Amino acid sequence: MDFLALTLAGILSAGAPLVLATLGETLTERAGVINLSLDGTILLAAMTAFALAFVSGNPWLGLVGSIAVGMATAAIVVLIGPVLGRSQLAVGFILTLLCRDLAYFLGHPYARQFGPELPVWSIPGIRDLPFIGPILGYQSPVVYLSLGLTVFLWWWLFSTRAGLELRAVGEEPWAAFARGIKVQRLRIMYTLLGGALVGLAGGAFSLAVKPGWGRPQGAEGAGWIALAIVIFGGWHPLRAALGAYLFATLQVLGIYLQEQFPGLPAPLFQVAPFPVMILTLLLVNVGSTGWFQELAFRYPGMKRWLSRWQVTAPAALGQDFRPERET
Amino acid sequence: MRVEFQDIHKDYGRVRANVGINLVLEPGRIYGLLGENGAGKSTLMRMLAGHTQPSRGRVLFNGKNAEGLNPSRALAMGVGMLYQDPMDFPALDVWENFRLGGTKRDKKRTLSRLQELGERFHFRLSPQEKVSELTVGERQQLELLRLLDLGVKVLILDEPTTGISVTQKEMLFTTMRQLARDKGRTIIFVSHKLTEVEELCQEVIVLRQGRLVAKLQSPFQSDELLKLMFGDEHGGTAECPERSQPGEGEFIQLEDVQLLGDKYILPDISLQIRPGEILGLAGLEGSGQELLLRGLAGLARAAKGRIIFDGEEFQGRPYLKFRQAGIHFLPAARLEHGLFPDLSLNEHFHLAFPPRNGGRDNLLPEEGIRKFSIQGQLTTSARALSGGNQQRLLLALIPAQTKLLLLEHPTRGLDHGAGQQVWNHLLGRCRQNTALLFSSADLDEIKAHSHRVLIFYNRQLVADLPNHAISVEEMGRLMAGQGRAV
Repeated sequence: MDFLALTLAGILSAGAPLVLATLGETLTERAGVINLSLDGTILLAAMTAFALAFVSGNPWLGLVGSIAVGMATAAIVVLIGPVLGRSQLAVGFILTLLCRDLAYFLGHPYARQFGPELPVWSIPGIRDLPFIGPILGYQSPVVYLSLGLTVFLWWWLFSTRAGLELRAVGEEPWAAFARGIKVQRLRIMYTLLGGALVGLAGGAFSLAVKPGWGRPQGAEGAGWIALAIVIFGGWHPLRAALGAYLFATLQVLGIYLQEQFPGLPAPLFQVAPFPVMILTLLLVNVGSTGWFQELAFRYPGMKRWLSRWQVTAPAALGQDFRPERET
Repeated sequence: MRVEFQDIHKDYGRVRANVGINLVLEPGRIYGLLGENGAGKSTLMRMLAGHTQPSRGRVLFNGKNAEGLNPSRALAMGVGMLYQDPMDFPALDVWENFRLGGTKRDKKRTLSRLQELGERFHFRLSPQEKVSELTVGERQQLELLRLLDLGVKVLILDEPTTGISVTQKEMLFTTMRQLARDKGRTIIFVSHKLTEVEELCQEVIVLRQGRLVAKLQSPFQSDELLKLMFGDEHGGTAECPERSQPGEGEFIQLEDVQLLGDKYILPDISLQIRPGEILGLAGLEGSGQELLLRGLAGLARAAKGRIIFDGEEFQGRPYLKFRQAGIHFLPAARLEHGLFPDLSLNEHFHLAFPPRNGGRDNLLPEEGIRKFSIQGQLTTSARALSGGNQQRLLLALIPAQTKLLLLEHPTRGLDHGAGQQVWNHLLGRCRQNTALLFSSADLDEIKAHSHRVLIFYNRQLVADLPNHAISVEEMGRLMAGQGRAV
């Protein structure tokens, strides 16, 4: 029982940065913009967070720094993409490489140093509960933040007017424009906001989940996985968070299994989550296959349930929108 | 609201879309805006709705100059437009579409307002449904309710009757009359269908080549309107060549075929087609005709049944085999799915007729452009062609040995003359025993050209009748799910 609770606590913690990054990219992509720079941004933000905390002695300042880095890279994507109308994918890709190298280069003096970490909060009332206590009672603030944000963004996206406008902009920018919605402004705003969350994911790595800085830091690849989970999650905050936790589960499981089977080579367990993730992606997207539709046709009662498996990207994802250009 | 156009000019590069238009529209009246394709109707209306600005001249609302108009400002002034392709959000729910850009209300009040308006105009819309599940007519009704909720005073309807059922059309017309009479709204009905304009409108405005050529009061003379629209040279009623008799034998057979589409399944189709036979496919958009055409083209999978061409079974074979058997499909999205927008005419011809096997029995590019009178050079990209020229290019690219032609909306978006040319060519093909299946939203076109009519309703084939056994009105009823299946 205790073992299970501790494992779950570990999964919540290990998944937190991934959840933050996925939520951020979900917001960005819902607005119709693709920020591909996640992997580099997370590393640069992680390095900045740790360096700032190390120099100032204040981990919270580090966290603020990571947000700033996330927003800065998002600002470059916004400038090249929506504002200047150039390729979002190209700039994102270059930023990925640039930020990663920049992080290793600038972070070199802080590598393998002892630095401050975010405190672990213990929540009165919850920490004394049986079973729940060990899972949710003692966690890093970033864990609580990731859980809270998941629910908040879900509500925001599907139950508020602002969330509706965000979805509208990512679906049909021209129709949104015709209805007086400020498409360009919303796109810029949500890309920056999404970038902030991606940056926060970096800070969560270096100040809580995988504390410290080094080469490798341990956050490498997280950005790419997050990009995949956004798709896996169907651009839906709850499903995206679920995907992130699934990946964290696979990683934690890998560590346990490695202990159980010392004879097997260690890289096997490190690599295993990735193909498992691909299989899951396949499973999740069965909604668009022919036999699945046949099922819906034969049993109309299941249609509503089956349609939930159908995942469609925001219709205007990655598309340019310039109202001054006449069609 | 009184709308006044003063000396409106609009140029797109060298094209003069509107030339010196002066026009006053009074409240409480229903105006018809007539003109063939490219006459400048849409441009004028897009200016009124704020999608584009005039190059010269001004638009006045109640005597006040409306400068720097954009869509949301036009809407705030009371101008609403119902677009031919609905400007809505297919991925979102009905009530969310209603809410977007509308009055600020919470969900509960939004829902009750939507229901209240729906009841007033007898539109039945379920608020929680996704807009992508609605018919074009229902999407139009939803847009209409939304615009009325915003309190529009001038309502522009751009070709609103394409793709909606007869019942929906009658409801729309009733609503329009009600709005003009009781609420003093100005209604502008953009169309090229004379009968509808005559039925609905009190005044008609005719545009030709960007100029206003007439403003007439009801009752209208059809001949006069036609002459005004097309000028003297057309006369409007050019005769089509006779269609030939179909040949003997059953060249294509479908036996209990079930087709799987992206969005739906078409069950149990059984069909025989003779060489040279022309079949018109009628049905509201999404009723099944699209899938039948794609199934015959080898683009949609047949889950059950047999598809037989010339005695050979084809179900389950790849698209390429269908092509090699002489089956050719021209989709409705000409530029997007039929052509390569950025490749030149020359490249199109070379791709379609590769000079392999030594000889070439097909068209050379220069020949093709001349023979099909395509307005363009060898180096012109497909994107730069007008709709009519794109369709002519597609026709030119049909291989000579084609035995079955499948066309989706062969004349959609083409003007009268261009449509005539398309049919001249198609009928010529059929005389050489090419069988032809075409879908169209224009029932008159189906009536005019087919030997047999297939009618689709609710994703099923509901009727397969010889042309002489069914009237246009009856087609309309069957398409709307009324009347018995035969």
